Amino acid sequence: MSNTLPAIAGCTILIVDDIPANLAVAVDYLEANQFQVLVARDGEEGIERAGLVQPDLVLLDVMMPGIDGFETCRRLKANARTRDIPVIFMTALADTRDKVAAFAAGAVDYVGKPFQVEELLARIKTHLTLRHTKTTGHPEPTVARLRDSLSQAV
Amino acid sequence: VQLDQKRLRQILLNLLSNAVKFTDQGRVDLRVKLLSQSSGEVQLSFEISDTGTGILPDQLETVFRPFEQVGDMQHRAGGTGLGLSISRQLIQLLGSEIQVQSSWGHGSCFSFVLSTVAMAADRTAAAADGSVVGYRGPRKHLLLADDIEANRTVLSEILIALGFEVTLANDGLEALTNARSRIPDLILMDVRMPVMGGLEAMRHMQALPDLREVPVIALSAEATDEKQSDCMAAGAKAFLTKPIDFPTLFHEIGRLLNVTWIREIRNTDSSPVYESIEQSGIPDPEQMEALRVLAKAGNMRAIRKKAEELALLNKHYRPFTDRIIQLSIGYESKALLRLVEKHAQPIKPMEQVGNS
Repeated sequence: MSNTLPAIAGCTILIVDDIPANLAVAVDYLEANQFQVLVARDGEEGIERAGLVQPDLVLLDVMMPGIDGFETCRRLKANARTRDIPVIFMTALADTRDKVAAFAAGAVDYVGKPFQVEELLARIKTHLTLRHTKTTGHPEPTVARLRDSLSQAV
Repeated sequence: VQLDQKRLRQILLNLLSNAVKFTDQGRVDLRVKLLSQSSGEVQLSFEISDTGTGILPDQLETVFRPFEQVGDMQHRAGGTGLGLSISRQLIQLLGSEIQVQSSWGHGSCFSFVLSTVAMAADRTAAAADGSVVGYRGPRKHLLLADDIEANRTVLSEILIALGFEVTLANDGLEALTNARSRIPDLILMDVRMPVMGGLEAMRHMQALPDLREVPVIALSAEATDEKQSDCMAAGAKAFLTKPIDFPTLFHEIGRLLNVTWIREIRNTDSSPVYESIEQSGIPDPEQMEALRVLAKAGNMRAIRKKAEELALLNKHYRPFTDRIIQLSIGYESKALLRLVEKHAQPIKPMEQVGNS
């Protein structure tokens, strides 16, 4: 996964996290990998920003003051403007129920915290490509190939 | 009559939007009355009343705490809960106190009285440290650690207006990290914070040769001797209780940094105290609009780049662009948007309000 596919270079990623130190890690790494990175410090700010900018992907922290990540994700999925944006949770929760809750809320994936930046990048690329494939109508094999490359990368 | 128009407008807008939010039916009134007028002193009362949900008697005090909102869930969902807290602090800054009267189910009335003498010369403060507008000597760098956004916002705005460079931290650990990466001249440390409290952070600093000598002013909502001695034992050089009395704060900062304050001799044509960023240091509307768009999008890198460009363009923008850069480095996306939006419209420094 060393080469960024042309379709995902320059994609916009919104990261919603209340802890600046967490943001710093992800923002720096993703900016170094040619993404446009936007930040929000809580769920409501994230929802407003997502509606305004319509990023290509949202990275969402679970535990935040105010509305939590699950509720934020549900609201994103309930809004036609943000419904189709893939959401990846960043969660320190190891509980299976929380992982299930993340998917139930509409997430496409999650990464455990503290995350490996390489893993995060691999998952982001997969979901951006999946979405690109969906919207451009490329056949399924591309998806399968990407899944393979993901499991190799991780 | 002269008033700090910008601050008054901010107070009234906060209180009015709060009243509107909690009123489904009926009305919201703003009444301004001339209470007394003698030579050199005019007293105005401001009243914002609504026919909304009202406040239960036992909640009358907590309503001003940051993030505290009374009322049912439907209403609570709407706001950040900072409005009343900020309004109270701004009114205190103007030397007055906000009052609230309410009956549950029938509405609330928030009121305060401003005396123009208190505003023009800040009577209580002026005797000691009142009309401080800046300080002499090289620019000093302060680190402010407080977990409550409203406190950080109000205090940092005031300190920046006085010419300080201010770095913010949400908790003791962040304060420690920030202080180690760049040693500040002075630290303002809230005692009670999540992750790492002020006492623990101060103890860590005492153990670090680079930070041991940095003076710390401890800020605490608990006004007990015990809390004070805990703070001093942990290494604080001064102890202030919240809500912060600004003249005392200025006095302590002056003492610990050994700076000489610049005081403003006021007359009726003078400008307001907190003006330093507002006057010439704001980029033109077109540039501000570009900053606003970037702040709205939450793109910290792009806004930092833009601010750096502006700083090169005109050195008078520096206090403003420094602040933008500093907020963007801390990922303070909300504070950043607030700051940019606040300055995005041209602000008249002073205006005639009422009769004089």
